[in-house]
Amino acid sequence: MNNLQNRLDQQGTPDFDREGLWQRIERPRKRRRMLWWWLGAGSLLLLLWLGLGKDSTPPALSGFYIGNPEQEQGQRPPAAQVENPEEGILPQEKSSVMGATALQDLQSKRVQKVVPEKAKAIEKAKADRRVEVVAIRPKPGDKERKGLQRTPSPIRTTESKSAPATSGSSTATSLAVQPKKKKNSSCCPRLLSHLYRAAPLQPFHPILLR
Amino acid sequence: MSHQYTYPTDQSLADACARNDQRAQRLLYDGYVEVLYHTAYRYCFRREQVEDILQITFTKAFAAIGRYDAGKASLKTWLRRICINTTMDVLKQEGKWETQWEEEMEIAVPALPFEQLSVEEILRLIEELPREQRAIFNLYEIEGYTHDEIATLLGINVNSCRVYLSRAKKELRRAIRCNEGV
Repeated sequence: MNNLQNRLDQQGTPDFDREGLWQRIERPRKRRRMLWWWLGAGSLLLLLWLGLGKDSTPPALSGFYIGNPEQEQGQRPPAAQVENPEEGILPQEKSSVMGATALQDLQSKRVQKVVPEKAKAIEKAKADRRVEVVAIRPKPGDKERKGLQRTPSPIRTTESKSAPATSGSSTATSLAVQPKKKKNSSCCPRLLSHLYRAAPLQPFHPILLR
Repeated sequence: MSHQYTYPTDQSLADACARNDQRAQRLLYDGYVEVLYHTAYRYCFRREQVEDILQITFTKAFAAIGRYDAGKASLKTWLRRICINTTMDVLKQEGKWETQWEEEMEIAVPALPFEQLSVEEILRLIEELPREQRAIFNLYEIEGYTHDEIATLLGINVNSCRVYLSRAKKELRRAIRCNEGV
């Protein structure tokens, strides 16, 4: 009965608020559009914030020490060796402990390098001293030749600072003093090495490394 | 239709609406709101309820207009179907439809003399029918649905649908006779 349908459809304009009905249809859609717009804007801002955050140091990592990788290359021990004994340490503490451990290793290597050199210097100084003492020691022939002529002992000469020898050769005195001076200077590296070994190395603050 | 100058085909208008073109959506609303109003009004005869049905209908239509295919049906038919489906959903929410017994069905109902009546008289007669009879009469006699389609749409038995239609026709015939007698 298509004819009846057409007749019923083409009846007069219905009495209803056409504009009000359009607003009722449009309002929820507008609200939904606004919601999507705000969601889009929010997600864009979030992406921008995350993108910018990657360029700079994130705030969560600001307390971590970031060293110069070129300086630390070859000096830092393998990560596994450092991290294993420090299990259970918080990440922030771990980073500082790791920095201190690396510093201690570096300094101990320096000491190991320095100590053999100083030891060599001490040995050399001892050898020189032996040579000089041998040179100063009087020959048996000379004693017999000169009779009771007293030769100044290098040890006495060096020990008697308050009463310097008035007799004897000045050259012998000067030769006898030289090893004492050298001995003093050669003791210094040994002392230093003892100090290095005795005093525990304190971990340096990361800022001091820079 | 006013939109025919800007959008020559239903498909072009539907595509514009699918692109969230506000002007096209308003043109679609203006072009079909009256037809849909009359369609919904034939089922419920309450202005507030019709406006609610139209709001839901256009919201559904704008949401699904991207799937519209002009090759299957005209935009008017497509919108009318959405409107009828929405109307039936609203009517079904009002209460359960009772199943009718087959023995009450009148097998042969002669055609009603609607040609002799004006539109206002026809609408007044339809309005006096009970809710179920009115809906099935509209769907079968005016919209052209089959009994199977109506039964599926309303979720009732096909025989119940036939019984409802038979009763509606009997009521209308009686009302027309009364009018002629007056």
